[in-house]
Amino acid sequence: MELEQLKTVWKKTSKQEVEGYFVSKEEIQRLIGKRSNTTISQIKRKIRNKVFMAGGIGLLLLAFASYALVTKEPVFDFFEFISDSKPNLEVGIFYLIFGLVICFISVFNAFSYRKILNIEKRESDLKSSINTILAIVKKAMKVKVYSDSLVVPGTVLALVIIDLVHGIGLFPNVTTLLLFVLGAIAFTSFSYFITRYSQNKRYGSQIRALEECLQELEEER
Amino acid sequence: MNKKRLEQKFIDQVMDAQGIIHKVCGMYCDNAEDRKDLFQEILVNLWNSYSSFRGNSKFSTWMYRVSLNVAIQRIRKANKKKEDVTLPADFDEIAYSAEETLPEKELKMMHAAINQLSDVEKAIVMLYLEERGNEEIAEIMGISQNYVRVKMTRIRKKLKKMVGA
Repeated sequence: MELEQLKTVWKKTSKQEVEGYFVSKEEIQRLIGKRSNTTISQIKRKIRNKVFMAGGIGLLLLAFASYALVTKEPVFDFFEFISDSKPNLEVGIFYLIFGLVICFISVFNAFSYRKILNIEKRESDLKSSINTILAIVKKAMKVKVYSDSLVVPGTVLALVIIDLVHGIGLFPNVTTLLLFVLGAIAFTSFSYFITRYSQNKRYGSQIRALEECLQELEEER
Repeated sequence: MNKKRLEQKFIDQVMDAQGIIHKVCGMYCDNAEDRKDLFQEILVNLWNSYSSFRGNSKFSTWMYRVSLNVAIQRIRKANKKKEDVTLPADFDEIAYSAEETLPEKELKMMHAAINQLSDVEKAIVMLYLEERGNEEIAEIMGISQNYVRVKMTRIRKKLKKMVGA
């Protein structure tokens, strides 16, 4: 079969196919109101949700911090659950640091969101688009794996600090502390591999398909 | 331009060129449901990036670029393994048959041939079948014109091999 022969069939079939699948103006108007389900759009939506969620929590904590620091009135005390109520200055500083960290996460995500928006709006060719998509998906996978893996060590560290500061006796001796840390390390490793596996399962085949396409487009080099 | 007017302009332009989306869908999908999903996905993505279309290239070139991009990056519901299809020897005769409506067999054979190509080859061959020049194909794909020619030669050989086998 020659390409020219394929062209003859193509011309005839595509005319019929286009007529057969013709979509009305009203239907197009309805369809453009729907949301995209491409991987990039899904990642973009997740980042946008993080921006709003982290932003909201961060601002709430900063509001608590300013209330505690400026008015010196008692606010919701996190430490009360663990030990005796602490002075407002200490609670205020805790909220301030925590609020700033969460606000930073929100701003960081907002920049990533803006970056994806700009990339999406760029009139780039297929090869550049595939390159960009691959970079975004791989970065999103990496961030998910590391952020999930950091939850356990972060919690352990916080508990150790609280115990050191308040002396509430969570770790009565070094052996308990050591066992706790070892458990945390094991759990972190497990969490790391599980998250990596699930992310590979979710995006792996798509990444491989896109890499194949990219490789094919770059063969000329 | 306000959103309503922009939307109207977009719909008018898409109405004139919706064939491009249908052809891309036909090239990358082998069932009606998949095709419907891809059509919607392409349309939504075209609309989302329409505000940034500056007219540096032709509207149709931009449409091909976005459509092919979505078709290639979408998550395939079922990543079916390509069957090793050999086209029947009478394909040549069928291709030259009468001008009347195409029989189902002819359509199936064309798709069988196309399905043997990779996603990138499908994009190049579709643009070629749509009589786009090498310069435009190269612009859409992000490769050199020389490489477009190389790829076309390989595709020709691949298609020939399919019938010859």
